Amino acid sequence: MNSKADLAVTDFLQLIVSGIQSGIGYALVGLALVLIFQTTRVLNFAQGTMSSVSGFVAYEVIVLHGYSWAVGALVACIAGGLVGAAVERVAMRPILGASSLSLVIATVAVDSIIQNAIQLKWGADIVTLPPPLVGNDFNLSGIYISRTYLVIGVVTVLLLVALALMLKRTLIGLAMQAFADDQFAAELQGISPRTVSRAAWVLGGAIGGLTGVLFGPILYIQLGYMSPVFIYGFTAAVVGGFVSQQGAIVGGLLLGIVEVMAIRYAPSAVSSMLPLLVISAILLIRPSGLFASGAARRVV
Amino acid sequence: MGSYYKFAAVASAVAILALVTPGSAKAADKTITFGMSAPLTGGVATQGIDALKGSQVFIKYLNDKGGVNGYKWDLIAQDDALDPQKTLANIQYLISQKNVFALWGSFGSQQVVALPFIARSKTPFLFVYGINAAFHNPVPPTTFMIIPPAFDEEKAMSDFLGNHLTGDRVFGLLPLNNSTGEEFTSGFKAGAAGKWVKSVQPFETTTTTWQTQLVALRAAGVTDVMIHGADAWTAKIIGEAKRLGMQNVKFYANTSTATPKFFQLAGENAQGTMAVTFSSPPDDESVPGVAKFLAAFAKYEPGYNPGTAALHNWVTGLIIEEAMKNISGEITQEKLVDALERMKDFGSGDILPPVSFSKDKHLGTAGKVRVLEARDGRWKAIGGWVGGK
Repeated sequence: MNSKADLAVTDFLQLIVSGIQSGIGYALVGLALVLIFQTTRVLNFAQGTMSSVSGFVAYEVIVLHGYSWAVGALVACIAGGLVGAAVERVAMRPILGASSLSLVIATVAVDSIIQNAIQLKWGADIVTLPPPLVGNDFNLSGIYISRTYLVIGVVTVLLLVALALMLKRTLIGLAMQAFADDQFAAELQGISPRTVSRAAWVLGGAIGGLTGVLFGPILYIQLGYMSPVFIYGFTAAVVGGFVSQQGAIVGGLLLGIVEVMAIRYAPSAVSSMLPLLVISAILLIRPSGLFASGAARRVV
Repeated sequence: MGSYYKFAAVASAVAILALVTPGSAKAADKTITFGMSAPLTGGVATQGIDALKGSQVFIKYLNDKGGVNGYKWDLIAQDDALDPQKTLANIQYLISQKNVFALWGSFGSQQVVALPFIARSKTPFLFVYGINAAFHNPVPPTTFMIIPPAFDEEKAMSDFLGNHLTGDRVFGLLPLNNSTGEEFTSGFKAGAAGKWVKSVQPFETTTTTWQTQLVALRAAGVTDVMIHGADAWTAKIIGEAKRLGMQNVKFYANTSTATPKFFQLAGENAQGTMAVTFSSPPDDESVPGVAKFLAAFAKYEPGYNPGTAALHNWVTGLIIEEAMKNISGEITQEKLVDALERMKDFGSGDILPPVSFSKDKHLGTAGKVRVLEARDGRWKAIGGWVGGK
């Protein structure tokens, strides 16, 4: 029979696991935001809504047309990439070179337009997406690990590896890195800003699409279902300094753990704002974020 | 000439003042226009749209039979996405610019934010789908309700469970982290099952997972969990709980869960869930009033599966119609309020208990509720009306 101390340890470890699970989700959203920002200097406030388009696409493919989860996720990622490409071509490229504020406002407008488009196509109804792995959570001596979050974790790790390889070993990846380091110098080297911008938005859209699909079984798919995740993902990217994918991952994990600890141990009057207070404290000490070097630069 | 211009200026000023001042709106041109603010987008849009459809179907049903007392009805609906700021803006727009006769069937407890403005305008605020205590106490002069406040609803559920459950029970509560959640918690604790409450774990409306709260409830050894939330939240919570090994825990929920949608979202996890609600189940054709409601939907919204919010707006449409039938002459806001306050024991075909209002009692059902159980994809009422004062 477990002692009270054993149960307390088990519960604490369960909280850590829960925090990591949530945090990985936030990290994935932050990753997409950082990718777009690093290359194009655009804070994409439409990221959450763009992700949700992929969720609906996955629903159509998996639930309505009976294809496998893997096929649905692949199609949804492609859809996410296409949405990213469309947003870049129609909304961002015409105002390339505009002020940061103008670019941010443009993404807010895109968010509103996509939301309305979703409502026109799929209405306001809630639909469900089956999980990638069916069955109960894994039980490790009383600590439960969600199958869906495990898939999210594995996907995140694979994505980080793939991204690292792409950025270091492919021409477009090297071009994106060059742009992130010094846009002026990159242009002088003959790297087309349009090509790089398109690549960043397509990649960011595809990653966002994958996030939308992975969160579908957890959140239920409906208009605006990715909004809460986007807010935390944005915060994760801020903590990371908006300059490194690894920073977004660490920021997301940190946020997830702080969130569950606040809910569990802090009074309910402050638990909802405690994670953001902690993040604000971090930024007060290190304004450029945990992973950025040098002074913070105001972008809006 | 000078005096002519002065007269014209004064007359124009009076005309403008009459147009923009919300006052004793009369039902002009034999059409009564109602206003409604509801979440037509966002997390609870399915329920907001359900409420809207309930109003729209009732209006079609009423207008097709010639209206009431020579008046036909119309409706202007505005989306607020459950955001209090948007709700207030909508209400101000509907009253000040659209000069609606009354507000009817708005959705969500956040409507309380508009109460001071509505009171100043003296516009009837009829039958909000909400459970905040401010709709009842003190009695707003032009506000009428059929849904009891959260405290009363949860106390009634707690009394029912306390009197029906046997054995050693350990209850956990999952309320929203807001004032309505506090009323939910206080009400349940004040009832007969309150003695069994061991753990209260609030959550935010923006939460994406309830694992942390469920882990705490599991640590407390709960055998029963009472949930404060919409059908989608309850479905997710039960799913997460089952995956956390809480297989033998019994779940209960409040009004917003008792919808047909709950079964689609929760799947087999729905079986055995109980819910407290202000009305008979919206899909129970054995209830005469519900049968009529479903027939109207089959005619005017074929293919749509109406839920509790639609039933709420349908039955409150019947109440308003009944009040208007008892008004002689022109229908005005003051006459409507007076007619409602004189209403005694209005029967709705058992959708609700007999409805009565008075000058200082604007809750027509006296707080009576029904307890339902999810069985084989339908909500079934357990016994008759319980609770109330």
